[in-house]
Amino acid sequence: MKIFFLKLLNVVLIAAVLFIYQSYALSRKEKVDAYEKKVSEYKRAKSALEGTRADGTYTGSGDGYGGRVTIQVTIENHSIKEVKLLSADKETPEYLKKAKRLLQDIVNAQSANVDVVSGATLSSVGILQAAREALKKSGL
Amino acid sequence: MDKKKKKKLFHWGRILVQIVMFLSAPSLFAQAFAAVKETAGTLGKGGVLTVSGFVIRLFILCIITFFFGRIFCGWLCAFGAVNDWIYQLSSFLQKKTGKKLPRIPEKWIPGLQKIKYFILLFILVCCFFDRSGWITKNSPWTVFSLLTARNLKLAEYMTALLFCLLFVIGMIFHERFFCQFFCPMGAIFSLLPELPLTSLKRQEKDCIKGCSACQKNCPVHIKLGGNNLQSGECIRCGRCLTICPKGNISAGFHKSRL
Ligand code: SF4
Ligand code: SF4
Ligand code: SF4
Repeated sequence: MKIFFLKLLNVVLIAAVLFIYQSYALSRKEKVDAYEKKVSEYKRAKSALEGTRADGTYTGSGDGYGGRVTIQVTIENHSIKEVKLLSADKETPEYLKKAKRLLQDIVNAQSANVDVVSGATLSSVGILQAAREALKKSGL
Repeated sequence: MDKKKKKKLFHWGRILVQIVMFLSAPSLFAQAFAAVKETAGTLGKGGVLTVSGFVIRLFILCIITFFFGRIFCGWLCAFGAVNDWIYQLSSFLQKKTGKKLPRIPEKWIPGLQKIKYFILLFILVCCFFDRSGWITKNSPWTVFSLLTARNLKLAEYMTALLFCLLFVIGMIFHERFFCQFFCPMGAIFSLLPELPLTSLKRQEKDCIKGCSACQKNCPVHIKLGGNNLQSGECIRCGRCLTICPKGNISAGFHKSRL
């Protein structure tokens, strides 16, 4: 019985810490978002200036968790405008949903050198592989 | 129904449940654990915690464990089932051939069972410092999930495959080898408080002198009624209920004996 309450206390403590953390993180998020938006705009302007990518749409594919993942990259004004998922039939929906965050990350970073989504590593790797292949085709 | 028949029914009933769960939800344990990794990763990055499908799964499993003990481990987890099947096959072969494999000494077992807490800690630290990709790359669960998704592109996961093979060898020698010694998800479950609704109790004073059949047959070697810290290991497989020659073990508050 004593052990039951000790364990219960631990769980409650962990929950409390996460709760406090969460309220702090939420207040921080706005600032971070604003900052990231600026960085992304800057990066886009930079790659437009450098002009190392040819405008157009390009596709690429990579190996995800269950099979092939195919994506499409749209280059406009020499910079990455949009990354779209064309097909990923064999990915587990739950993981894929998480990994889709990368599509925006790639646009923000203007490159496929971004971190994988933790908890959806395998689907992430598929998307990044595909993006690299597509971006390679766009290089002048 | 006589006792032997009940025992058989119990044994095969459990295997049936495990097969059904294996086919319908082979990666539930990994998805629930993904929630843990994800949360540690988010904390490390200072991001906002989100309630993803994984977190919901983890939550449900923890609630089940809180009320009914680790029945998930004993009956529902696909990887636990693999542990069981490999050992069942191995003990069947051992009986048939009359050859006995060496066993892990009983007194090492409580110590070995602590390894999983260090593994859990290690994984949490890795995820916190954004190294979760590294864990995935080397985890035997990755191999298991890929295989159950019928994806055979394992070339990139050689270390994971090696770990997986090592664990399989362990499972041949020892029942629930991975579960009781190494599983980080099991570590979390055994740290959870459990209501005594399904806990196993033993009327020690009525025991046959010198008998320890229940402990010897318990997959996780629990001495019932003894060391309470170890009780988090119990996976509610129910075998001790069926094994005791005197029916001295009961589950829950009632004396629901088998
Ligand atoms: S200890 Fe881990 S692998 Fe074993 S049954 Fe429980 S969750 Fe599954
Ligand atoms: S044999 Fe009994 S004590 Fe051991 S794990 Fe199974 S239910 Fe728990
Ligand atoms: S098997 Fe039954 S009689 Fe033997 S030690 Fe366990 S509870 Fe006591």
